[in-house]
Amino acid sequence: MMNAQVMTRKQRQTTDDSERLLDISGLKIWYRTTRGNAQAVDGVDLLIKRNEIFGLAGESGCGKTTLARGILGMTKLPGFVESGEAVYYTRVSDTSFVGSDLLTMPARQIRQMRWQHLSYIPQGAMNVLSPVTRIEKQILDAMFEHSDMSKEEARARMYECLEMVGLEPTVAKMYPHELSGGMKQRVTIAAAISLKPGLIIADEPTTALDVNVQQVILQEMKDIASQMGLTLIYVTHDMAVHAEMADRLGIMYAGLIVEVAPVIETFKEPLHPYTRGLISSIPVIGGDRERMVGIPGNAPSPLDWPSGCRFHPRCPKVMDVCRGTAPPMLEVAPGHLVACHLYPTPISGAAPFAEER
Amino acid sequence: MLSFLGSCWRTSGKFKFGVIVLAFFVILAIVAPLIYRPIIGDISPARPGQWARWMPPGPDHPLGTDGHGRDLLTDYLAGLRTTLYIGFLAGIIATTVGILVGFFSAYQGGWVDSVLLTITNMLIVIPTYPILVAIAMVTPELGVGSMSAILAFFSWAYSARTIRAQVMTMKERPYVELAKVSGQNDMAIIFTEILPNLMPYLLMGFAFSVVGAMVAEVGIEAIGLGPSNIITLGLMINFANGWGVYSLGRIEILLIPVSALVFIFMAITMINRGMEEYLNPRLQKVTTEK
Amino acid sequence: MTELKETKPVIDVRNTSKVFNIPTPGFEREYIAAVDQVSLKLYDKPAQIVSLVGESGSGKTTLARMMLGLTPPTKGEILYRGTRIQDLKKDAWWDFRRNVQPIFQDPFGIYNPFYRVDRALDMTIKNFDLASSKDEAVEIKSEALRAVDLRPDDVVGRYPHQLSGGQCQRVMLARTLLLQPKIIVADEPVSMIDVAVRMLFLNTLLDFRDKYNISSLMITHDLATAYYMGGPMIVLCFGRAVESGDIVQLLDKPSHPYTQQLLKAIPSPDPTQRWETRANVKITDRPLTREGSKCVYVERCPHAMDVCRQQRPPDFMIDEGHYTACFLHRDKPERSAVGL
Repeated sequence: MMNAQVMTRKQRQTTDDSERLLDISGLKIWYRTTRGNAQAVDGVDLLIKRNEIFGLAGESGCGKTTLARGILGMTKLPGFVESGEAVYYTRVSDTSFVGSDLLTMPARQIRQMRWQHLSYIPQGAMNVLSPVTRIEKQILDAMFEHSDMSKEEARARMYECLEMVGLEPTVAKMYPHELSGGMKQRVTIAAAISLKPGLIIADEPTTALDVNVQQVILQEMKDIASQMGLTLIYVTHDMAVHAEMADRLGIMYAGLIVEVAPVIETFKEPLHPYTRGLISSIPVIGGDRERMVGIPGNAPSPLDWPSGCRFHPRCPKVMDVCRGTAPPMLEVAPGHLVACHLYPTPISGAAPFAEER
Repeated sequence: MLSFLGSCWRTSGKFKFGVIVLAFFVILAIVAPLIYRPIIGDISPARPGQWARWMPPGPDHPLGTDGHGRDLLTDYLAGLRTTLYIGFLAGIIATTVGILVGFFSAYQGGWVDSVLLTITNMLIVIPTYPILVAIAMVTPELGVGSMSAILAFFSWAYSARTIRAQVMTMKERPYVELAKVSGQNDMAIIFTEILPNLMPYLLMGFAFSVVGAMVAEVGIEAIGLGPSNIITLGLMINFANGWGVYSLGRIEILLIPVSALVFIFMAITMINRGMEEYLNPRLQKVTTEK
Repeated sequence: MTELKETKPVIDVRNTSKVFNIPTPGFEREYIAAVDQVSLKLYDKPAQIVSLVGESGSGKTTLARMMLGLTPPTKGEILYRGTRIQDLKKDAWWDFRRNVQPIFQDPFGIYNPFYRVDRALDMTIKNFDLASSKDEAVEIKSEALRAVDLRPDDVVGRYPHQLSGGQCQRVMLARTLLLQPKIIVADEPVSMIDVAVRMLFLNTLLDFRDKYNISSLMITHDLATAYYMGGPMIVLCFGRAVESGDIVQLLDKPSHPYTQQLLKAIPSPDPTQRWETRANVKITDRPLTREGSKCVYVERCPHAMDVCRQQRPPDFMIDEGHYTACFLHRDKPERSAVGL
């Protein structure tokens, strides 16, 4: 763990301020249960850059939703932040930025940040729309709550956003039940971008939707991200979606990040055996049809993570050291980080000794 | 079912409050004879003229006597006992009928459902109180049993509606379909698949019926239309008014039954709200992240 | 489909439709054909895996429920070994029940939360008289669980929320194995479990075919999953079978515009091969169709012609066993019966 902290600090020093948007270090979010603490997120270090689309991949139970909500200060009992920080850098002028820890911010301040700077599209967002209120009222209400816009400004902005997601202006006057699943999801996206946030975190926004609708929404989100210059953290277990969307990809397993790399590298040269397993589990059309194996075994429980490297019970390349020692997260190629004993040497010979901390 | 109740207890403050208060009254009602027998001896609690009227509280009569020469403490305890008894009895009858009708209606569907639903809805819409008043006016002295039956007749409809709605959604659940393809017959499905999952709703329906019956009983008694040979809290309220307790300076005679009723209703309502809170996460204190 | 025309199909869906009435204010009746004149045949000799590909609103689940006898068709008929499902009595009915079994989509919803998961197995053993004593029941239960790669200790006595989605789904497979049906109707069995675990499930279905001669109808919206299973495939769009044939051939040369669109919309797990074309933004809801009047895809089809709006396209044969219901291919020979 010490090495992991050292590595990211080094990373922080080599990235200049204008690139950093969100700096997460040592984040642990646990849940109190009758059987002890469920360590859902257990020491995550991640650096999100400005204007990138960062994909967060992992299967159910790995903690990615807890992480997504936790970053935005939305952890609720029985969940609690055990330790760590999530520093968000707001632009103050062309060259200077101010960083503030989202996890220690007072509630009032975080509410201000929400929607204006940070926006969240939860899983099943389309089901969160109130069935008894018209669409326009729901979007406008959210806008008024988080900004000082005048009625006219807000309305104009709302229509702008509806257009950006490909919805007709007439949708504003409708009720949610009159819309299809895809249209409702696009409404939630429109609401999320209405106040021009710097960061949007989307959790499985297209899971329940048809492939055609998914394609539309993914393409729209990419357009919006580049048009509005915003950063998108896209959370999904669907690796193919990451292949289409992400600039960089982070793989999460058992409450930890096990690999981070630019997306092409992740798919061409996956280093961590879990990543390899994930990628080889994707059935592809065309080519030989041979039996695929997937990843044997079951996902571990957050109440009782395996010792050492958490993937060791299922790893095809397991070694003795894996059972006892947790591997540190090391940068083994430029921009490519992995936590695996198969790759013990970081580039640039950064020796794992402690720096000022 | 016990684990459900246990979970409600743990989750909801309202539930705890309601259960404690209700338990207090129920226990009081159960042990009531142990308390009043020593005071009044073997006679019926309702027998008038046993003692002097309007005696102030004293060692023989902890709360004094009422305008008919009866021991007041006994009045209240006996009244509490009867009122609760009527309420629970009516509640049980109403809930049972409601369950039968609701289940049958939802599971059969088709015209059976339409007919039963229409009857149910009619009963819900009819203003029951005026009808109760009318019945009370024309019938001679009612016994506790008949009173409960009449009250139950007007409150089963709510349970039936709720249960029908729940069964209709559950009918379509995947596990019901699985039971069908595993060869379970309809009866088995109703009793083993659907019924256990309906326990919370059955309890809530029961609670509503009890309250409804008690409210109706108080309503009739308080205006003097009920039988006066059995003592209930509602009857006490009626008497208290009739005796003009304000001018007598014995206003507590009115306040005691009224507050007892208020607390009982509140307790049952809290229990219901508590169950709802546990069952419906949206009602819990969660602010939406908007 | 070539081989073995003499064998009778276990399930024979003939020109079947399921029409629902939509309650509308006023006296005008709107109705929607969830399944619209679909035909298909499922055989048990040889055991095969047939994929039914369709998105939400395609009618795939309604079709599955009809084949399982959970709801009757409005038009057409579904035969089990030559007899209509509704006409099956007593022993024949039990025979049908035993031999046509489902796997549903929601791995958790399939279990009654009130009970432990192995109750599903117990219920099956009891109702179909699969064991003559309690001990035997426990034995065959454990055997079935082990056959689908589960340890009985991990599963028996647990409640559904204590298991993972993948485990729950495999317990369903164990249950199916107890009965050794001729046909498994699997409705989106893997869409709600993790990708890494899907393979295990799909491989088990393939094993069922190879080792136990159990055929499956694999209903899915994911073409890649269907491709992995191989075999014949039918594409369902708004209740109609628009293309059918062997999956490898079909995906190599998709001829119906809907199939082509479906293929293009799938995100490819290769970041160097991202989507090149933009999707059509104006995707609307399913149109309410009156049966038979026009091609069901006409509102969204980039090649829509006049004839498409006036007539329902019949099946045209592209190749041996490969059919398309699209007027773009009207130069090809027609087939009299619709479907596979």
